[in-house]
Amino acid sequence: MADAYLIEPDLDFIKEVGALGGEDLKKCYQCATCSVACAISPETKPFPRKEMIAASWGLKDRLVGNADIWLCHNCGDCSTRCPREAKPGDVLAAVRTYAISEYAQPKWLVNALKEPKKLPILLAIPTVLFIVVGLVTGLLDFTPDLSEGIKHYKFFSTWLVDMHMVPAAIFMVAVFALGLKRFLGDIHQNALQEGKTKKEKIEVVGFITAFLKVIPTILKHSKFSDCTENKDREIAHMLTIFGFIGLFIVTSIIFLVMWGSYLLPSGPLHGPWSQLNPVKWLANASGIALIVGTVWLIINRRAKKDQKSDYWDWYLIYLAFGLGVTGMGTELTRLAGWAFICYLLYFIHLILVFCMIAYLPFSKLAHLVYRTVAMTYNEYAGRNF
Amino acid sequence: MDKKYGVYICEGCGIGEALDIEKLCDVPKEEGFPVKTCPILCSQEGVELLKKDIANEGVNTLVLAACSRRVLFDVFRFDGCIVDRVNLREQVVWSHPRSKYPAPTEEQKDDEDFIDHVQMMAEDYLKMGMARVEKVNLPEPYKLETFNRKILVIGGGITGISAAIEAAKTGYEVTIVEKESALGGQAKKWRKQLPGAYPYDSLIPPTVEDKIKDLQNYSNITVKTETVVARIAGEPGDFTVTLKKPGEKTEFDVPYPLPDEMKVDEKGKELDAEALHAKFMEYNKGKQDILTLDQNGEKFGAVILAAGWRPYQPEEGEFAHLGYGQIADVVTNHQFEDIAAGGKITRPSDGKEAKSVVFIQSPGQGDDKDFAYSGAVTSLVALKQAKYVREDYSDGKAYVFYQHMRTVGLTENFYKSIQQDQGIFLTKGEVTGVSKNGGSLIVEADNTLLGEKIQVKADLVVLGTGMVPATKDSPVVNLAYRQGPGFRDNAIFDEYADSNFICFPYETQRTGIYAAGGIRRSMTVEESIEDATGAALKAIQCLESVNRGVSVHPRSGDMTIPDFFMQRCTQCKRCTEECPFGAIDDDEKGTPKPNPARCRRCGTCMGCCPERIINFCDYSIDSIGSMVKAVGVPSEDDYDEPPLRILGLVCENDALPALDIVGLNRLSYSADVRFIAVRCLGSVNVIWIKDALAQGMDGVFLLGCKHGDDYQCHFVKGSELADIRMKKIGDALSSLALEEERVAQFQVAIDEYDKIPQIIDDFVASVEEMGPNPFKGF
Amino acid sequence: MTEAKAAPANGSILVVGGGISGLTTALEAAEVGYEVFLVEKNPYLGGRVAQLNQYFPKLCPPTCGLEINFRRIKDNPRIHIMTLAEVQKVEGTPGNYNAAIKINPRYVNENCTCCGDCAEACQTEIDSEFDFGMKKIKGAYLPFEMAFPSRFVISPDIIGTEDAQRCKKACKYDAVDLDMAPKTLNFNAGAIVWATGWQPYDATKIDNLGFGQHANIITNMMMERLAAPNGPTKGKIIRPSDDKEPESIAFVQCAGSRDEKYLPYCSYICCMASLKQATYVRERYPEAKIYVFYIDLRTPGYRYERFYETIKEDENIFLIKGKVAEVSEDPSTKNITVVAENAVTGEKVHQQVEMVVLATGMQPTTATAKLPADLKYNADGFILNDFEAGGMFAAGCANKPADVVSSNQNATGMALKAIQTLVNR
Repeated sequence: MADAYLIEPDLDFIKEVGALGGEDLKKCYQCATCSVACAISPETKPFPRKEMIAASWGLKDRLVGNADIWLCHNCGDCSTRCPREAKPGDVLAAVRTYAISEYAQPKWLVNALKEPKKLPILLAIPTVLFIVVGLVTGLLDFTPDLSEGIKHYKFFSTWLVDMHMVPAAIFMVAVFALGLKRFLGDIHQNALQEGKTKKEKIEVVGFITAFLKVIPTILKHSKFSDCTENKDREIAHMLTIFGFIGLFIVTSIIFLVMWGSYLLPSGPLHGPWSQLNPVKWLANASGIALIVGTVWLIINRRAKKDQKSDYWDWYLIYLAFGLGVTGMGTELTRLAGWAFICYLLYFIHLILVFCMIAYLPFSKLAHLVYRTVAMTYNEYAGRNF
Repeated sequence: MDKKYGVYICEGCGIGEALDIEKLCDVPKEEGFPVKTCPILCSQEGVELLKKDIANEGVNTLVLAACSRRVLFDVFRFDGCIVDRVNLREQVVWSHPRSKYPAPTEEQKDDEDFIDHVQMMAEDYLKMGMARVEKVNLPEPYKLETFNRKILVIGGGITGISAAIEAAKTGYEVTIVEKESALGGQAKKWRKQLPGAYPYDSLIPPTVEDKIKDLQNYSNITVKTETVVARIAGEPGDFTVTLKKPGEKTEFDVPYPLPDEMKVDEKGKELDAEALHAKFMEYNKGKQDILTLDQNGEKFGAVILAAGWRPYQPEEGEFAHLGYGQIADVVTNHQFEDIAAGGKITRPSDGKEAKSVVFIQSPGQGDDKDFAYSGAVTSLVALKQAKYVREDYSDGKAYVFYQHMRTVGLTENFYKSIQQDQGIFLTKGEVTGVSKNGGSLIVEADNTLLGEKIQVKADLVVLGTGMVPATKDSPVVNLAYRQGPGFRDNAIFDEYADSNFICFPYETQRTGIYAAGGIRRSMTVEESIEDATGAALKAIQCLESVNRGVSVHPRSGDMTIPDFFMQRCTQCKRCTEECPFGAIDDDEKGTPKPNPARCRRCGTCMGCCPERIINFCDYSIDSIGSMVKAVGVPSEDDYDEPPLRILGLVCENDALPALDIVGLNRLSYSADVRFIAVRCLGSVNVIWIKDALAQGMDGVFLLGCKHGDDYQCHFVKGSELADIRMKKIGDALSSLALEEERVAQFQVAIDEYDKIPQIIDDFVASVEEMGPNPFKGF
Repeated sequence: MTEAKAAPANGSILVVGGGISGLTTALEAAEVGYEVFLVEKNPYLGGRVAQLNQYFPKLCPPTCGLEINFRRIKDNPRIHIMTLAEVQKVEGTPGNYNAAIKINPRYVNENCTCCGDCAEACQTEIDSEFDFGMKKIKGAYLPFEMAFPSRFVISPDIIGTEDAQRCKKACKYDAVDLDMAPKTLNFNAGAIVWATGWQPYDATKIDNLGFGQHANIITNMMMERLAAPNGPTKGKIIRPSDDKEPESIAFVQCAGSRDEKYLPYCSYICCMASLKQATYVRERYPEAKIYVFYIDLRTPGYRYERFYETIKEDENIFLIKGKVAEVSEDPSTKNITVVAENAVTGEKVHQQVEMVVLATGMQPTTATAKLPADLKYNADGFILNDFEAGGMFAAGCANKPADVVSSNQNATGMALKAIQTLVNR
């Protein structure tokens, strides 16, 4: 322990966390039941007890830059056991939301993602872009020739897709890069302060090896399986993630193959690919996984009354669900030959894809990055997590 | 009354099987006592038989040889009759089975040398019972010539006011004396008051003003402000009280007893009574002796001591590590309350708004103790005062550093509701220092729940100091008692006027004076009001008991009082000094002046009197002495190997019931012991022991309550005083050329019946080692 | 007027509950000079304190005070005791109540001499409620040695069996009356004091603390019985699974108390009770390790603080700030591991001990069974006192959780409240 730490409670932070779903945080009387109830909390400096007092003391700096809030998988075990009904699970969730907004820039986008009212604007951005740019460049054709059957690129040129998605992706990565730089610095600072690590500073090699170590844990969802409260969430969440990963892979392959194919004398290859193509199999499988997973998550959340679910959570789940549905929808309607519906769904699908990519660092989905980094750091820092 | 005796022997519960009843009947016959036996004395026939003899034969003095007096008390209660219960059941047959102490076979019956221990024991107890009834008489209720029913309440705070109202509601006249110029006490100085009723979740406006208003509705309450007690003389039902203005000097200010060092002359020799008194008067110059009654004094019957508490005032340099004394903005919770009551919370140093306030509940320095004289109240007060900060400033911050948040019982709800305030920050922790830092203060704490050493910026620091009972500073009651003006032994209660008894929280060493509220423990308003109500009842109860001429707790209803045969008094003052209740005063010559209404009938005076001039009509030196003499002490003349005879004097409150349980559980112990029950070991007079040994008994032991700070003696000091006497008896024994180990005292709790047989047998064995008493047979 | 009013009154007081509070109210009122009827549902007086081994902080036996109270009853013809009795209905208004009281059969009449022959003869054994089922007793029994009234009881369980007849035959005093039937009496009383007391909270409800699942987890009240000389083990503290003398014991504070799911309030006594029980263990096993897991140690006031001071001096007593939230049993040794976070050091503690004592809280008996009278209760089931209305009052732990001293202070005050009702009616 260094010299005494000067406490400066931030009343607004307490209000804010309360507003984000942690309104019971002040009920905590520090019995530490939560730290024991939590199946994945470390032996030393366990959470969430210390996070609870930090929250009720309004110690923003202690929470926002604290890896432990990301180690929590929000299973709700602590909230169920809490004798004062202070709902540590919800408090940590609220703090995570706060943290995401804290590390993401620009701020207006962050706030936009917190308010249902702003949703139309968020959706309008890609829509308008697509139409304006599409019409100006002529890459968007509302009367595509159907002689060769339904071909998406004839309606919405691959060029058009990528000239939006690629910058969006770059923007996303940039925002994360900036955020994570601060984030890593902060959590290390905090770890040193709270005596959670012996490592003086972060060196790259070690960190990467740590990263490789945690990948399986994440994929296996072994942390989820430790939870007793809502285990069923595990499979749902897993399906969703694998769905995403699968689709990510598929998209990447298609992306490369297509641009690669421009070098071919035969000229560029355009979709749709044959159903016999293994890539297609993966695509379909992932699509289904995504839909099933998200539907499942929705049902769970609806069922769980004692656990908080607000717009912040719903935005993400429904986005994922929408992606799955519109994606599969596009394919099925194509096979069915319903051109109009098919193109419409495809258009919507692209809007959602844009939202997902561009708004990733500002939405709850960012947890996939922060949690991964936090878990990696934790592994690196050598906490018995 | 002229006694008509009747001895009745019960044969039930195994008595008949174990004993030779016929032979037993010879005992009373020899003494010329009519004797009857009955298969079951407690049966209808049995009781009828007794009633008939009482009605027709005029029997009025009964010796019932059956079971313990603890059982069937109502069956064998005959008004107007002297009844002695000889305990053949628990004490003889149940604890001395024939399997262990065989009865004589036919041929053994006429064998001179055969010793039938059990039969012998039964005969002894019967003799003892007969001896006793010859010596005792029925008591008459003791009535005071002048009896006054008025109640004096000392202290006009929330407790005193409540006590007065409760007593007045019950129809008694009450006078409240308050040293300040107005009623209200501490409660009047507060901004807000802790919740006093369910749901206990929020602060309430101070209630004391309403109480004061309510008080005016009672015509039978008199209020005297700027008044204190100069002295209280006399006894319950007849106290003469001198009142005066605070600080005023009067001849009736209570005199103080001489310090021990002044009780001896230059050579260190004890002064005689008159010299002592002269010195005492000189020591208390300008004050009247306690026996001089103030003719203008006011009469009262009972007193409620509700003088309350004062804020703890740290000494010079105390809590220096917390900056108290050096830093103007470090104050006690009491000083903080004054600030808060005065308006917005500001800093004493510069009058600036104090928006960040730290409350410290424990002085720390490696200990998790709260401040002295604190309690659950101080935890609650910290929460209350934290709330003040938030009331005054929307951006205010209140920090509470506690070691243990002591919001006991339903007041937990108050803790819950205060926690909810976003600007109140609570943690366990040890404050290690408070220091100046520019305009504000820095409070440093360690071992907090925040995981490391922390610092907090503060405008004001508040120490949760305690509530000091008025009795810490002065006796307050100023009793004109020879033993001194205050409650004795308050030191073991940290100077609170508290009771040692868990079961009987109002019992103190001063009859008719009942303490309530903050003077006996740190209490909330709610607790104080409850306590005041209880104290009011006890005062009323004492009045009514005195009026009926009976004792109060623990011998409630007892009508006997100590009777002094003054002609033989040698003015040794021992009774005055030893009475646990200060019931006895003495005059300038040292002659005792008993105050029967103060007396609790324990008999300590009887026990300590070297001249044996103090007796109760049904319990006296003679009655017990004759029981001792009634014990047969076999010697070589009777047997080749005479059995030992050992006397056991047992406290009837705890040890005797325990002995009953020994019997009930059929545990057994030496048959050489004979028990005599005493009111309290304090009443044991050494003459009984000397007589016992002189008549050839081989040993004597006392069985009584535990003493020490956590004494269990119902008469406070009995067992302790007996212990001192037994230690002193040593030289007396050596003058008889007897080992002092022949006399012992054992402490047993009432539930230690399982240990008693061992204690007894060990003692008997140790006496056996010493060999028989050489005086046997003389 | 003072005289008239103050003179011992007409009209009597009904006290419901013969525990320490009820006894106190009854005796204090009777010794002022009032007629008191004391109704107790058990076959004996003394209630919960009769089950305790010692009181804190003096470590003195409750039977000591009870014995004095029983003697006060014996010497006071104004007190009328009814055991095995329950109030069935209360009607009327302050100053004039009518109460119907059901008296259940004891099957033993006043002829009983406590000789114990009936118990000898009886063959059936039943669980002793007094010992929380840790001991078997005969179907004919004396509740405990110092029981008052000191009279045997025949359990309804053996009525109509051979055994009942055996008991009857065995009794030389014609004290066994198997034909006794419940009877209902009607009483007029000017005031009623409800001293219905408390019951230990049902620890099986606290599922994460393993009571009822693991043999070596007991409650604090069971501990009192184990330590009591007249208890199931004659005062030996041994663990249930194998009668081993424990070398390590953990006390789990706030087992149910201060928990919104169970008892939202603080039960007042458990901290002191556990510290007291630590002295029981220490007295018997000088080497034993004792762990106390707490949220706050509530030892308020000079007297309790001082007691706590002495406990702290014992270097084999470990006080850990952290609530036990998890327990597990080693199937082979039957030892228990308790888990808590030491909130001061921020380390999780996995302490294996040979025996665990749950400091279960007190719940008003009225939380589970409301009384047949016009009374108001708080959310936790404690009776609310309405002094404005008057007439009926709750005393002791029927009103709020409290220690014995406070209960008696409260009960003494309630005696006066009852008397006022009579005086001013």
